[in-house]
Amino acid sequence: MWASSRIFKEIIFFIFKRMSDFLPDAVYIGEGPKIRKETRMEDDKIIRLYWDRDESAIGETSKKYGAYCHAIARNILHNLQDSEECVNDTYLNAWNAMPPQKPGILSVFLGKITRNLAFDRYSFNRAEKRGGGEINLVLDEIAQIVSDKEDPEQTVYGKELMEAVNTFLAQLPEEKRKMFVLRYWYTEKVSTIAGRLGIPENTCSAQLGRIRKKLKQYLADGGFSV
Amino acid sequence: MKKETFYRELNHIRDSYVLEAGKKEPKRLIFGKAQSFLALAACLCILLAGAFVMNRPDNRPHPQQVQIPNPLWQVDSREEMEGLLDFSVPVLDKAVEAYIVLVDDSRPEMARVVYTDGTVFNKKYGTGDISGINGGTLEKTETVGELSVSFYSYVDVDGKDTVYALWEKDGFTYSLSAENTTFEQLTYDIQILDLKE
Repeated sequence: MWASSRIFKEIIFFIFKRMSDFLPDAVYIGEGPKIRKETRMEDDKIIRLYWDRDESAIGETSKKYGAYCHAIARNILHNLQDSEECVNDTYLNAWNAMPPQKPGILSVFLGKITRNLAFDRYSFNRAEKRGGGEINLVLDEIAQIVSDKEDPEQTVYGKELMEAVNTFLAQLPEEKRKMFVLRYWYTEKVSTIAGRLGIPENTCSAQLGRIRKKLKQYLADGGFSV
Repeated sequence: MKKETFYRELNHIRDSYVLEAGKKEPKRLIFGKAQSFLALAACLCILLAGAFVMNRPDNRPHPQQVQIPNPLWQVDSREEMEGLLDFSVPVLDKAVEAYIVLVDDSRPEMARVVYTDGTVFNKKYGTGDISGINGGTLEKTETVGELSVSFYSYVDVDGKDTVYALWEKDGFTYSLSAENTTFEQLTYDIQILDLKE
């Protein structure tokens, strides 16, 4: 029964995914893409609206990237109301950031804002001892890469550290890089990543473990005592 | 470094990687976890199909095993044999091993007398070769009394020499075979049998 419902769900997801191909700039993230029938504006036109201080920029952003931002926030917060607030805050932040900023990739720009805001909200909720979910597991896995102790030097090589991570990711095969980013940037469940990449969940989990181990070693070899 | 700090720092990984992971199509089928169930379902389908094919009815006959009555009835005497058959059976003056009646479709059809020296005499209504020997060589055809007799020789796989003779008379067909003997002895026996008819 479980298997048949799961298969049905996957088939529907597959059909939706195929339908999404006909939409411009489709972004797949979360349990499944949201299908929107409205015509979606090109990114540079949306950015132009921000720069022109045209309030319709928020509506167009919501139309095109609302579901994408929601998925990122939901993965971290596991709470609909908190996610909704995070996404609204994302639009506000974007409004305040543009101008002067002119993002190269609007979706990633918005995603990063959402991720930051959602993680801030998660930290607040954790202090209040509420919420949590996949993010706790992701953080536990990250604790296998870093020491999870306060390090006074961290501010010194914060930017260099990310450069090293970027170089490490560049050396990974595409599938493994996607796996890493989906897990530690998008905070996706391992089962979802496995489904997206078409591999068994156990394999995905094992590969993520190996990537973490390699990254830890790579950073240590680079002189980063994280 | 605190894990939360590292998680936050990961926000600075290249935009292209974020876009790549969030946007690109998976290479393979997306069934993922359900894949093993699909494989299992496929195996079950193959097994079911196999069972169906193996059990499907066909047009070939599948007769149940039946008991076939013994076509050779051995009797104790010439009189008993003649009682089953509706004709007389001549017998040579030498030791008899068995009196046999051959039955066809539950009807006694042919008389067979087997002698201890290996001689075998057959008599039956009708025509044709009733010797039961296949592949003999016709050596000669002679007239014995009023009978036209064909003489044959045959060597079996064990190297045993057999001679036999075939003749017909009054609607009956006869055969007489013997091992390690001569056509002259066979002719003599035929004459005796004819006399006793």
